Amino acid sequence: MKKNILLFIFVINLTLLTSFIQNKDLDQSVVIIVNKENPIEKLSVSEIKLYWLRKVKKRWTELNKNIKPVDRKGKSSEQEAFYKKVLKMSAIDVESYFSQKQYESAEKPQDKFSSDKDIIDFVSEQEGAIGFINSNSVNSEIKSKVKIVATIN
Amino acid sequence: MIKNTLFIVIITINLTFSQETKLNFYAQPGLDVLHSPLNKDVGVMFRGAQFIAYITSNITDRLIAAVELHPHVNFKNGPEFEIERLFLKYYFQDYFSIRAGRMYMPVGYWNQNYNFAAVMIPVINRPNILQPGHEDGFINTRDIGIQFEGNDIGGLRFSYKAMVSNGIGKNGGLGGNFRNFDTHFAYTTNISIQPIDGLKFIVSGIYNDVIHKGDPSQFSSANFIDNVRQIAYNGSIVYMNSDYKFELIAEYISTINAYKNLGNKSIYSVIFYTGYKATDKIIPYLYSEFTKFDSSDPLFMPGTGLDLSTVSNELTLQSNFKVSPGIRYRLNTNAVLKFEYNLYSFDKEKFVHGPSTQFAIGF
Repeated sequence: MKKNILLFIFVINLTLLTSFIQNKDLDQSVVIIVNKENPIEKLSVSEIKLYWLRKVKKRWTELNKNIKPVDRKGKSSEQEAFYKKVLKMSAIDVESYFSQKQYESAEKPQDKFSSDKDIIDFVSEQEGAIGFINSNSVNSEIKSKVKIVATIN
Repeated sequence: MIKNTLFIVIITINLTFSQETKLNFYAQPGLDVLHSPLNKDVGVMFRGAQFIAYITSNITDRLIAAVELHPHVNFKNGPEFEIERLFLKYYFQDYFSIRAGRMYMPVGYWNQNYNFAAVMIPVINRPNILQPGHEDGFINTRDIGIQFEGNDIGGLRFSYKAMVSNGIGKNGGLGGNFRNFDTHFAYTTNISIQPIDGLKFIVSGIYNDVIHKGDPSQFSSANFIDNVRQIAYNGSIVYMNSDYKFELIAEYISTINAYKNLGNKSIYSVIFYTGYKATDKIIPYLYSEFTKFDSSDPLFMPGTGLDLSTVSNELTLQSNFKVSPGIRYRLNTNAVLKFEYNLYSFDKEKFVHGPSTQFAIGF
């Protein structure tokens, strides 16, 4: 009996912990960043999706540069939030989408980095880059390096 | 052979060491089981892995190079490489870019999107009508030439592709036959609109200029026995949108081989695919294709094509039909397991049926 109670408590705790982790991912807010040279000031969620997936447009018209989507390498709460809230696609679908584009028309897939810092460095160097970082990472130093065009809560 | 291998190695090394180069490999081993009620026979066969190497390289911001290599064993010549694609693409604007080299011809949807990388193909096998010429195909699916294209123009997302290529009269360009010193080419156009994201309406066609009697054919070991023009038409409706669960590809392809003395020989084919993403990983689907062709067309009769007297002028039509309910299990982006139960019908023969599996990987 005692064993069963302990097991029940363990399962309840595990369930709560799992739901907490999931909710944490869903609650994660991210900011969308582009290069300082990019004249774009604001982007809506649907525009971010079109640009990041290089649907419709493959180049920034005003910059005359290729759009370079930037992603996180491996799973992260930021990536999960971006995929769910902006792309509304699963990780498998995102990868399949870029693989298909690469196979059909030799288009380069998204660049991937393992940390917000690496993404910020890349976006600050590449004029055509567009990426996402954790909103908690934003400070005045980062604002001096890249331009924030949207906040996704 | 040595020359070819060296050429491929040089290209591969050059691209591999270029900036922003991606090297992908694809393999797709499988197992087929077939049961023939007519002969009361059961056949079981492992299918080769069909290994593919695909290299893409962003040489500059606008210039892309791509090579798709297919090493395989030729029963006569032993191991050899086939260059499935080798092209350069220069990107001017979204509405205009140029590709030059060997590439898939812009016929319909399937031929441009699904070829050798089975991890991306929704079913196990390519449609019969789109098999390469040397694998019992019917139309020109790849060729050497130049292509002009533009994508997603305006609110209806209009796209176009226009290709000028060597055509089947020059053996798909591979033979490089200048015997006739002619200026005949194949002209392929493809236009599409995408009124809703993922929903595409496509119309395309190929016009193969006069192919001379005696020219080599990529479809058989024989040469053409008569002057011929080949005209192909296509119409496609496609709904492939990762945002939604429902998938659809419906294509119609019709070809007329217009011979000077033998008259017209026709082929037509209908391809139908529909799938439903039950979960992120599991996609049940139904695939079906129907092809009707003129078996007296000398283009598809190796060994008889050299002698006009052996070819009947009477129209002898043959057809094949295939229906395959199946299921796709996506282990992850790079690995897909497919299972199909195939039912084939060849003319008036009874249904031949059996399961097929494929494990497609990309890395």
